[in-house]
Amino acid sequence: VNFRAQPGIEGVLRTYFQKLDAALASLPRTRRQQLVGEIRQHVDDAVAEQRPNSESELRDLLARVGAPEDIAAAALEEDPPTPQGRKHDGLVIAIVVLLLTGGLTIGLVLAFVVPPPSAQSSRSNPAKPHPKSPTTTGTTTPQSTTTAPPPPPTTTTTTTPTEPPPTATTVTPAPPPVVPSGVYDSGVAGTPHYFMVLTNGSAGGLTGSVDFAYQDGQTSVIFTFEGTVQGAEATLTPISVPQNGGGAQQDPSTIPSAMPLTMGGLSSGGYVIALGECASYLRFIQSMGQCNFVYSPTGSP
Amino acid sequence: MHAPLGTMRRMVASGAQLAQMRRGAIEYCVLALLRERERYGFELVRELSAADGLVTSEGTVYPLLTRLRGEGLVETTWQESNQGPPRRYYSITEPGNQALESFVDQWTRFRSAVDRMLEAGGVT
Repeated sequence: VNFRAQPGIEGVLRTYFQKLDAALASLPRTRRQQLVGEIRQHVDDAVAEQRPNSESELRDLLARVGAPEDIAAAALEEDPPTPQGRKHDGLVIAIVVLLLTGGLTIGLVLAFVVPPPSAQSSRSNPAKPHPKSPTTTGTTTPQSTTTAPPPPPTTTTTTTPTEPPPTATTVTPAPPPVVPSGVYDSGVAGTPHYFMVLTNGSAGGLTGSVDFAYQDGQTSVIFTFEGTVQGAEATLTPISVPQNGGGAQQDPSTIPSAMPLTMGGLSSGGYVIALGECASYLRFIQSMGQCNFVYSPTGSP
Repeated sequence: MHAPLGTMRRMVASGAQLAQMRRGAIEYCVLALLRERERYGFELVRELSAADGLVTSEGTVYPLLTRLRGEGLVETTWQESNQGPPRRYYSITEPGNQALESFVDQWTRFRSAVDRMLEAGGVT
C-alpha cells in the first residue's frame, strides 16, 4: 500500500511532524533534529509494519507514538536547558561581537599602514592577472567556497605585455550554468540522506565525494569522484570507494565507472545538481527525485 | 456530580507518583532488554510498549535512550537493513551492566519489603 500517495494521510503526517518540531523548539537545533529524525524513523517502521489504510488508522498509530507535547515534555525532562547553556550562548555572541569589532579595527589600521594593492607585487593577489604579465586570456571560474554562490562570469578580458591596463573588453555568449563549490543535500538534516561535496576546479574540472549522513549527524564517504564539465553536463568517474565499515558503505563493484551529473542551476530552492540514475546504484535512494542535490548555504549536510 | 476535592488531589497525586515510579524503573528495563541482546530503536520501544503500563507513549522512550547513551550506559552502532536505511542498534556497556546489577539488588529488597507490608495490611 503506497499510503503516502494518499494526500489526506500525507497531510496527517506532515501536521504531526510540524507540531512535533514546534513543540521541541526550545531544544538545541541539533538535538531537536536528531529527536525528530528518530521519531520519523519510528513512524516509518510502524507504518511499514502496520500498513494503515486510512487517516483514522494512521491517527491511531500516531497516538501510540505519542502527542508531540508529551514527547517534548519527556525530552525536556531528560535533558533540561541549563543556565550554563545560556551562558555558553552568551559567550558565543560575545566572541562574534569581538571578532567583528576587532576585524573592523584591524581593517582600519591596515588601511593606513599598508600601501594600496596597485603598489604591491602580484604575488599578494594571485587571483588577478598582473598588468605587465604576458598575454593572458582567462575566463573567471568559481573557486572553492562554501559560503555564498559567486556571481556568474560574463566577460573575458584580454591583455598584452605592452598595454599596461586592459583596454578591450569583449562580451562573450552566456556561460553554461555554473554551480558553486560546496555541500549539496538530497535530504534534510536529522534524517539519513546522501549529500555531495563538490569542488569546481579550474578548466571545467570537478572533484568531490558522495557521502551519507546518518540520523545522528555522523557521516561517511560512499565514493570520491572526478569529472569534467561540458556545458551543463558533467561525467563523473569514481576515484575511490572507501570500505570504512559504515552502514551505508557500498561494494566498489556497485559504483558505475561513469555517472552523469546535470547542473540544474539556480532554482527556487537554491542551486540544484542532479546525479543521473543514482537510484540504480545508491542503495538507500528510493526514487529518482532523490537524485536531486540542493546547495546547502550553511555548508553542512 | 463532582468528586470531592481531596479525592481529586489523591487521584492527581497517584498519577504523578505512578509516572515517577515508571520513570525510575523504565531505564533499567531498557538495560535489561539490551543485556539479553542488542536491539534497534523501534524493536526496543515496541517491546517496552508491549509490557502493560510501562510506557505511556512510544516516542517518549527516545529522549531516555539519548540520556542513557550520554551517560555511557548504552552505546549505538549503525547496521545495514534490508528494509530501508541503516538502523541504529543499541547495546549495553560495562557501566550499564554494573548499573543494572546494582538496581536489581536494590529493587529486589525494595519490592520484597513493599510486598510484605501490603500483605500485612491484607490488601494483596
